[in-house]
Amino acid sequence: MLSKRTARVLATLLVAGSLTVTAAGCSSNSAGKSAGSGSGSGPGFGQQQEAVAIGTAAQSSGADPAIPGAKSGGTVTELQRADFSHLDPARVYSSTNQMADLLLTRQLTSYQWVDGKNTLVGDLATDTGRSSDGAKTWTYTLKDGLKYEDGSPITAQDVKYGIERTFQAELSGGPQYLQMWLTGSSDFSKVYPGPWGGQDLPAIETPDAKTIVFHLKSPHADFPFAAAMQSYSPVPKAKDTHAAFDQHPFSSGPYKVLSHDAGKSLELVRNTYWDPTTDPTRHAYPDKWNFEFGGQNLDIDQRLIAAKGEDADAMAFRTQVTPDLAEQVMSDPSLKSRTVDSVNPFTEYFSINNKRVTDVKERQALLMAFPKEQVRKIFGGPLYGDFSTTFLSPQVNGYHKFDLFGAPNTGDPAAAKKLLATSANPHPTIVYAYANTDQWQQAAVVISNALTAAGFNVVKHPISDQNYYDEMGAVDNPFDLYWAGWGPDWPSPTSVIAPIFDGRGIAPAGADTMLFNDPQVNSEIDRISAEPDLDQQNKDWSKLEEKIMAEVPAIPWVYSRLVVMYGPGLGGVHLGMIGTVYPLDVYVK
Amino acid sequence: MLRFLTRRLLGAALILLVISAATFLLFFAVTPDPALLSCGKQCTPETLAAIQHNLGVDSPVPVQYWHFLVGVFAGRDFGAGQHCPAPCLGYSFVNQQPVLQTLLDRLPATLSVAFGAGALVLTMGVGLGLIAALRRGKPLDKASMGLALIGASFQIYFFGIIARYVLVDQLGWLPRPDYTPLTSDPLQWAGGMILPWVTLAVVNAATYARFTRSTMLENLSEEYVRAVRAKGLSARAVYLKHAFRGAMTPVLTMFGIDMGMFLGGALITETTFNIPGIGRLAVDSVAAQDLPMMMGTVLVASTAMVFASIAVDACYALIDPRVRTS
Amino acid sequence: MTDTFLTVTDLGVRFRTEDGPVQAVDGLSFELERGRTLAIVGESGSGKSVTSLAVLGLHDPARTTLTGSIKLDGQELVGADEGTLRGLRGSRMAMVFQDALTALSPYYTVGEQIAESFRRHTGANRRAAKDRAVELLGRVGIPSPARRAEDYPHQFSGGMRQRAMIACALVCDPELLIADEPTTALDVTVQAQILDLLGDLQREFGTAIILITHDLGVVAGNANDALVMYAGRCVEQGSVEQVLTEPQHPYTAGLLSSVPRLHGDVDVPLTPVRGNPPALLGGLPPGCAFRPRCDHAQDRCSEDRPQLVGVGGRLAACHFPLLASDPTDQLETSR
Repeated sequence: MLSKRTARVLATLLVAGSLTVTAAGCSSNSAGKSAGSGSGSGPGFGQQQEAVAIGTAAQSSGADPAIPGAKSGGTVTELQRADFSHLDPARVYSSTNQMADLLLTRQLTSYQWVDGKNTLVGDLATDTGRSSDGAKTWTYTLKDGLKYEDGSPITAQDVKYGIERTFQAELSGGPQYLQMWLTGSSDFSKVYPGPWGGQDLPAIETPDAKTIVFHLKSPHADFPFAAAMQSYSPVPKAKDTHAAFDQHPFSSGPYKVLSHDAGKSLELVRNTYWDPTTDPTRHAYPDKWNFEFGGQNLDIDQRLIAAKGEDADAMAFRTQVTPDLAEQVMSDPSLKSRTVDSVNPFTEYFSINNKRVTDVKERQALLMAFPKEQVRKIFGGPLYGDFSTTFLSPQVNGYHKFDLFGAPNTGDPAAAKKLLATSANPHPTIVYAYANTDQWQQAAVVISNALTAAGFNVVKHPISDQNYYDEMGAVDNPFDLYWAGWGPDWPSPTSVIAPIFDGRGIAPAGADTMLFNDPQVNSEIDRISAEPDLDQQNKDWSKLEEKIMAEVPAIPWVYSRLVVMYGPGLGGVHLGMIGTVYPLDVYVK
Repeated sequence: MLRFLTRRLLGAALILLVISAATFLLFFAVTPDPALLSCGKQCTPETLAAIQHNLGVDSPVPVQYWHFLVGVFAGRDFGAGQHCPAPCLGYSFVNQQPVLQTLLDRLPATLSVAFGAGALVLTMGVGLGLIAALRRGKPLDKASMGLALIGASFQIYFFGIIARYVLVDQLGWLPRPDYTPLTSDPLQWAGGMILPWVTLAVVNAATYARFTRSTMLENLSEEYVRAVRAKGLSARAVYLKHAFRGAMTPVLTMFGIDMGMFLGGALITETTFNIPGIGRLAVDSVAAQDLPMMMGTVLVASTAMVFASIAVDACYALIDPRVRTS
Repeated sequence: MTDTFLTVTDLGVRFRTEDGPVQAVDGLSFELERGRTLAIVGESGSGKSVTSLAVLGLHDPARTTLTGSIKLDGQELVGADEGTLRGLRGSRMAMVFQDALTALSPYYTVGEQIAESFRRHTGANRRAAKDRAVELLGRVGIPSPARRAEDYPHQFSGGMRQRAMIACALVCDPELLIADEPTTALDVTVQAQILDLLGDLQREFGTAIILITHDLGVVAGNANDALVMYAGRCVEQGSVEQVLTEPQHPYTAGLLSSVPRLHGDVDVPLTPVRGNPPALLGGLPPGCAFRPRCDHAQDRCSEDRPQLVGVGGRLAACHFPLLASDPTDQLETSR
């Protein structure tokens, strides 16, 4: 559920090497085993069952099952470098912003975390949605007793209005799934400009205050996942303060904004009208959340390590333990025990420019020769991530472990050479482009040496850090190999395979960085996307993933890890579905 | 004096104009389209165009700069129908906050850092320099110059991190560096400022110590100082009233320039200690490619510099009667 | 019975420098009575300014060793503590510096600078000290002194500045005034005015004056006695009349011939003393320090340092004084 923005930010961090952690004993020969090793409780992926199950109506009712030992009360301090750039749900997309809105808003559906297992359940709605018309029509019924921060009831009309707001061009930055699905147009603001001019969106019907019906232009079996995005939260029309909403949203969640000093601090206190018995996904144990912005990552780590005074109850959502401190943290059991260390849904790979490197043998030779392990070592070794052979992360439904080529992580130049010998050109020239940072410079040497050993002529092409995405993302870029990454917006393969492999979506700085465009794959994407049955859809995506992998559009590298500290006074801290540490189960001991 | 001021202020306006234009051009020369940043994942050309229009980046750069200037002097309207009254510095690309208001909001923190650190730098630096000059060649001179050299060789970032780690995180001797408005709690204000002040002072005072020492020695060898001694005046009067008076001019010049820099936002200090001032705002807005905010911080910084240099010249006239009366 | 006010006996001033010790003044003795003027004459580096600083105690005590004796009205100054010296400086003995532009602080008004000395030594209040400063400015011939006291040194002309400087020195009615090249920086007409002023003040207050100069032209008519220094030593000493009209030491004679004379023969070219004074660093070679520049030098001059002896009614340090016809006579006397 990382937005492109987040992906960019995260990727920028990766490029800058900020996420790098030094090697510390953490086995990762099996992604399934090592994930969640830090917190001791990661979602159960890598097994037969899905990473995130769809919950029943029964699971959707009542309160979130209590966490043993957890109690209400206390104040949690959250530390992060930058302020949330948006609080207005219509503009919230990045995982960090989503964290804040998890506390301030409710959605039709949301994720329930019980004992390391995530389930999508009804949040405002009584279930995860009822589809008809081949997954083109989705109907939700709201629960009783839902209230805003002023005690007024949350209605189906408010949910509709909240979604209508996302069409408003001024409220840019949010995801656009529902907007496109409801209008069937990528230029959805032309079809419906948003509610500020008084227009109504007929594609959403609200026959009564409790019922809301969505009429989509095409089938979308994973609508319930999209409905869980914070962007699609209820907003009462009377409380829409337009631009000012961003600083002080009107709360439907368990907390409300007490004060927000942009760039400095944010204080959340309880929304006393929020009824926990209506909310199966939020414990909301702490009485108060204090967010402090501006600390350097290193300082945040040091504060969390020292955990002095109030900092005992402090945490960070996604401030990765800095490489300087990783060894200290990982070698000290008392520190390690209060570290979230999990694979997140983000995957990283080295894109091959499929427009330029057209010979599949040559692409396969690149994969065969690629020194995954040596490169990962530069970025900190096992703590950086677990080696991958697929595009779907173990945190995403439809993930299944497969390795079509059996290339060793250290690369196999001899095998690569053999492959090249059977190709049209045994000594092809490969332009490797990379962000001009210390670590990527080192990596470029390692990669260049490994590929050269396999018979490639390697041309190293550094790009300035800031322009990396624009140059690498150009549709006619003159490079053959470059790093890229993808974070899905929800744990469904639809939000991975479709965006990054649909050749019709090739655009500047787009998701298909491999410029992969296979008409067969494109039509298969259309077919699977229209599949109304979610289980069937996941299976089909898995098959398609293998088929795509056989074409070697890119070299899978790692499933990223998140390694974040928290204070000893906190419990219930774990990695969430959004790829960051999740706030909803946190409690003060 | 009036003519001096008018001339200097006109010059200042010109400098600000040039700096702002340069910042503007440079930003667009090195930064990808800022609209892309808020366009989200499924960024369609239509959405992008709408965002560009809202941000006001849908016209050629010189035209945009012209709009910016018009905004400053006459106010301007943005795509979303917001009117921004003069002096309008625009709205943040990132969180749509008005730039001017944000700057004013951040200014007190920067002023707190600047004036506190400035006072400390001056007393520590000049004090050490005076002692060293008076005890030239003696152990005290060598000790204070050694101290100054150690201080000067520190980086703010390095010294700040270590000092905080040891004094705050480990020993708990100092409160955590933090900004509390002076008006809300003076004690907490000062407590949170100690480390930034001391750090800036330690790192900068060294320069002042060495500079004060050398100008003091220079002035002590002046004929008029010998003449003062020939009058039988006390050592104190000789050093402080006479030699120091002469040594003050160059030291204050340097101080004026440094204060100008502090007032523009001590970038590293504010970032290191999480002081929400202009400097941190500048760093953040550069990182976020937030042009309007960046422009705002650049204008504050250059205004501070320009006015500091005017203040230095005015100080010259105060200190040196030769400037004042000729 | 003479009214001897300042007695300097066998004064030695030795500096410690980075490159080694320097004997800047060696074996200097003279006496000065109230109301009289002693001119100390010599090229730069001859030790004349060092002597004046030693009298005032303005040398750097860390680097300088004083030997011999300096008695001011019977009070020993060599080895006196800084507090004692400070009490005497500016009150009983004062100094007029060569260049008033550099010797007056640019940062304070002329009035303040005159007054601060008065306040220091008399404990007078600000008001009284200011009145005194104005009075002194008037006495040294500054027109509208009350107004000019508020001016800064750079607002004064060169001659006025020197007058202000003198006012500064005289503010506590000192008994000894050391004037170090007081007129060098001034043009000729102003020079005369300043020297006349010093003479007038001396007559009025009976001040003893040491006039330090390299210019024998200044000595004539402005001093009673003259002391010629060379390489830190006295080479000739006597009444101005004796020294100027019948110099015994070739160096004095050399200095004299480099001074243009009002009544001299215009056709006689001025002959400056050839060569340069010796470097004092590392000590002087045996013999006469002036020998390398002397036209009359003989073998003996390079072996035997000439002592200061009475020659023709004054003292001179030369084996072959200019007026002595028979060198052996000199030899007798020196024994």
